[in-house]
Amino acid sequence: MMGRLRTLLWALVGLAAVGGIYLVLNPPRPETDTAMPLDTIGGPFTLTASNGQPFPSARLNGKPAAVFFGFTHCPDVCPTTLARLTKLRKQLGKGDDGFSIVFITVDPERDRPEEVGRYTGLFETPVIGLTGTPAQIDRVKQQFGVFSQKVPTQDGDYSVDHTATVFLLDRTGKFVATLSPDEGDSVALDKIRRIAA
Amino acid sequence: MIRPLLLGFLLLGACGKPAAPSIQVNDAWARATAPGQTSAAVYATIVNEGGAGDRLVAVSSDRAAHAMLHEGSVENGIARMRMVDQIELAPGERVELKPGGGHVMLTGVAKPLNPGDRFTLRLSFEKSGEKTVPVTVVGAGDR
Repeated sequence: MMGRLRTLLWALVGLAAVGGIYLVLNPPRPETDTAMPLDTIGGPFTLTASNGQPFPSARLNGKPAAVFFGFTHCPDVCPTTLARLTKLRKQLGKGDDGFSIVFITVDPERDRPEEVGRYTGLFETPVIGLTGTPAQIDRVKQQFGVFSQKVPTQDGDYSVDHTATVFLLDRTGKFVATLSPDEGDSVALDKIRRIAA
Repeated sequence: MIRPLLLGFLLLGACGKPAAPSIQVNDAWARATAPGQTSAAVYATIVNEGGAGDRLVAVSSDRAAHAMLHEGSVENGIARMRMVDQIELAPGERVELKPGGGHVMLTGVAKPLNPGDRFTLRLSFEKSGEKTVPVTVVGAGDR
């Protein structure tokens, strides 16, 4: 009898251990923008421009905007996305006025206005770079349903996993559509044409 | 059943020339980086035109303290970047290291990469040994 109880208890210990390992290996999935009702995405915000001055989102009004969240130490997805947006803006054929390209850092600890300014300055066409206090950035991320998480790298530094979706805002700052990295440029251009019409 | 078949293949293989990988690395390029930005990605096309597989097992560069192989992915709209130990190149395989996918990640880039700069990337293959290729730096929005 005791032997059976002991076996049962050990089995429970084993089960708990397996459960623990499972949770460590598969942490609960973070919520992404797909979980958010579309009409609640976006809204007014105030951040800091690369010149160190406050930047209220109302300043984007008057032309559509493509908003991308990233970080300046991101060598692949972020410059690739910004390069794509500059290309799409060229293809739209309305010059720099076609739509604003906005880069918001999800790494405000490393990306101060100066870093953000140098990064967006790499592109030969205007890109608005924004940062803020960690609390301000958290709030904007929440407004757009953006996820980001620091991941330690081997050299003791860190990288940041983050939402790669581009948010399209109309002339009034209202969120209207997203661009995903894997949809074709012609589809993306169609969406932009619609809001820039 | 399987064993004689396998033996047959081995004998068949032994009759011809010993198969060897033949690796070519083309069109290596990187985007310009901003001052203070210490990491960069290098893209290239690697082709194995030989009859045997090979593996890319290590990378290094004269412009970076460290270089590693990275796999980029976008899942559920979230971009992630992770180190990989090696890249397999089956016979006839063509692997494109391209934006948003696999790339060579450089860290400890002391000086910014400026458009027009050229630097070297060394790639070590398990069987084919070391290949050194020139990397061309392009404007951030050029490709």
